[in-house]
Amino acid sequence: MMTKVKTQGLVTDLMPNIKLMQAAGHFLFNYHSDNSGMSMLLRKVYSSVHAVLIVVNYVCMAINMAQYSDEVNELTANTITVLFFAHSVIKLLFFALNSKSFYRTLAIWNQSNSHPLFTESDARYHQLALTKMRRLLYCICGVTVLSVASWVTLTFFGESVRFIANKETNETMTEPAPRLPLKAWYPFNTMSGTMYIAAFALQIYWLLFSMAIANLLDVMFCSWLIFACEQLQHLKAIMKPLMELSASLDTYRPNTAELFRASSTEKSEKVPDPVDLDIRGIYSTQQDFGITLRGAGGKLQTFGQPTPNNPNGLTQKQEMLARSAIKYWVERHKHVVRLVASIGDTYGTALLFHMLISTITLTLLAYQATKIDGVNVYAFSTLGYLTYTLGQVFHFCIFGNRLIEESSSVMEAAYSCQWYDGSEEAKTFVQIVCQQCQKAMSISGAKFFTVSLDLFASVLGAVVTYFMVLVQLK
Amino acid sequence: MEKYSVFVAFAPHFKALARVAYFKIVSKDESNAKRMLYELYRFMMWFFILLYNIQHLIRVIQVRHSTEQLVDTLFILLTTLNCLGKQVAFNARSGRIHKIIETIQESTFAPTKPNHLDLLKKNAVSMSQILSFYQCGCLTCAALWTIFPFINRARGREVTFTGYLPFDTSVTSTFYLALAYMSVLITIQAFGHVTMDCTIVAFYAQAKVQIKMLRYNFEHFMDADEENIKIDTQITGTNYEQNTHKVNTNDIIIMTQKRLTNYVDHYEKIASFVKEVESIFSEAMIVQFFAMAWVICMTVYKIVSLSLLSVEFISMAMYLGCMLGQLFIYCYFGTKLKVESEFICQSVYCGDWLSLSPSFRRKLLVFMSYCSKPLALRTAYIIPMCLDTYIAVLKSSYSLFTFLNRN
Repeated sequence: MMTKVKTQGLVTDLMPNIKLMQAAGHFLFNYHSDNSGMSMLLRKVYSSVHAVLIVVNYVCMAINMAQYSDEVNELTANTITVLFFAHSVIKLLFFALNSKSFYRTLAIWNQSNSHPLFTESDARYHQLALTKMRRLLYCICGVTVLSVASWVTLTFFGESVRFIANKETNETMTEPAPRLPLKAWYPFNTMSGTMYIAAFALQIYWLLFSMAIANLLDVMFCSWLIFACEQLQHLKAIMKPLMELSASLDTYRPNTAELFRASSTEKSEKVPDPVDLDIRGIYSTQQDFGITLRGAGGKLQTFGQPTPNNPNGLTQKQEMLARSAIKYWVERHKHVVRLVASIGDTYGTALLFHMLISTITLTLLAYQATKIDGVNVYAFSTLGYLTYTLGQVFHFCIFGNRLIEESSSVMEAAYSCQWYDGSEEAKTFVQIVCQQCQKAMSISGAKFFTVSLDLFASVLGAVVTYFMVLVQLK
Repeated sequence: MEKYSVFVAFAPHFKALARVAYFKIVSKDESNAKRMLYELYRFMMWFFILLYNIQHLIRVIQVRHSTEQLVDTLFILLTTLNCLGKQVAFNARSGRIHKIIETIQESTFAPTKPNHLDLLKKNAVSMSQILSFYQCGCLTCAALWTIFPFINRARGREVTFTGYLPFDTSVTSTFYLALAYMSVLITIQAFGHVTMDCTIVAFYAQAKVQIKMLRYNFEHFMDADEENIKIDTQITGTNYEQNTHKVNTNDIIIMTQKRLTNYVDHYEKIASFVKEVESIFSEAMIVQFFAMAWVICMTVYKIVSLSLLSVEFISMAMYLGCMLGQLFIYCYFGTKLKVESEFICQSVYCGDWLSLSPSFRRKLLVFMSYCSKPLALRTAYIIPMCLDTYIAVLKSSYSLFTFLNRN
């Protein structure tokens, strides 16, 4: 009997992504409705079979690379392919080893606070986040399928050969090779016949699944970032009504007309209003109102008698509402900070490996690009590799950059509301929030680099520089 | 809470340093005879190390016209000069080092919560692991360095020593004598060098752990602890049961004020500790940086002309790897310290400041503004000791290699 699995928070939002990852063979065994031993075993077997097939085919490709390493062009092309698919193997292993960390990040948003005044805004931004995450997932899935389709199509064009170095004359010769999407060593002859069709089918499956494995994990990371950004948008949106509400907490309203009246005759300083002294007296005797102590069971110290000079004449209940609204804001912001820290801890190392391999791949691709001599299969495949690799890097750089921008723009939102009308509590709240938001929240690749568009620009710049230098040296 | 000495993280390092007479923590309860003996041992060590360096210097002048031999000698000389620089720093500034060891053992740096204890223990374990790893690595390299001349001689090739020797080494007895002398000295220097590196890194790691402890304190700023209950029972001694859970407002204010004072003081001590460590080893770091830059250029220049998988290539590559590994731990721990100190502000934010009064929040705000400047270590005031520098070094070596290879 399949009962609907009860999920909450991020897991509910990311369910399609999780289901796709489970289908692609990631070692994701949580979030199923049926957790009996038999189905668990079946799922484990499914993932293991995929893992074995992927690793075995990868090793075959590596063997092929080692076999034909004499000729430089052949070696470079094979190295690029091997590095390209190293992402999938690494991500598969990374998820398998770090799944606890992933589950922890997914569970962070299971319990979130709420406030009656802001539920509508919360729901709106949550829906926005959901729409964006879905759109991203469909987009990346489409790109993956398109890439596999174009790869397979490109296989049927051009000569199906490999380059061999002739040892006597030191020239490059061509030798016929099987017309397969990937060059790999198989223990059986794949030139023609049933074995050829079997190898072709295996390679189509392999292409689809390995690309899906790598891309789906990146999509999950970017979805987390989208969610965090939309939460920050929500916090920015409710800042203004929050400050207006807390302006009612004001216990001292200066007589603004008095202050700014231009007095030509009076040269001496303005005599302090007798009201000021009373307020100051109240402050010092009230002993810094409203301190709570966690763990010692202290209760919130109440105001007691309402201050005689509260100009708005608010009831205690309304003041509590204003104070609780500020509390909601701060707790939600802290929750987002925790989420971002957890995302960084979970995915940072994977980003480091990704950038390392991408750097080497792009260097080799820049070299390959200098040998393009016309509109042929070689040109299309090189440009295809280049666009795909740069696209992968761009994918997470853009979302990392958005997070940095959103988190530092919270300060602008805090400033743009009428903080000067707020109470002391509200003003110090704005101060502390501004101080905290000076350091933008960012994701770092295990402390080696920060994920932002600067990173992408530097990578792109390096590729272009290498390409220009190599073209000149030819 | 058990008593835990923060110095435990440094114990294996200083023990190893004392063994090779590089640095010793003087304890007062040592007999005069022992001290005299140790001083004699130290003098002998210094003498031989200086002699070794002078021998290599003489040889550099001797072979200055032959690039190949010059490069061979310079490899050794630069490394030993690097080591000597750090040794001089340890010995000339031993008073200041003793003072910072005393600072480490003060009560400000001592753990006060179970979480602190965990952090300190984990740090001690990782420091000793790093030390053992590097020591094993350096002993392996030194062993290989000893074996190579042996093998070369057995093959019948001519073996030239990298240091100036006044006698002929082709005779077997003198050859073995010279080999023993050279290898023992280089092993001792390598061992001392690696231990000194790990000690300096241990200082940085200690600062990082202290900041982690401070961050934990701020995140749990408003948590009650045993002291609070103690204050409570003191004031209301007679009716303890009634008042255990009622906390007097005055005491809260005193408690929060005391906590803030302690934590600000803690941060001050950490910042001055980091500055002091940086300044003690500043010249040694400059020497290291230049020696390393030179060695990388020479290694890359030499590697380009060698074919892959030859013994020489492997030893060159291993040597380059050692140099880069040495720089790596400095940059890595420098980055870790910087990143940790950047998060102090966030930890203050994540504490329960909402339940504090506006006037107290302003005190926290002053601290937050002060902490927004991270504790970044720098070499020679301009080169930051962080992973960006490391990546820049790797990039430039690779560009140099590519450039020379093409030519």
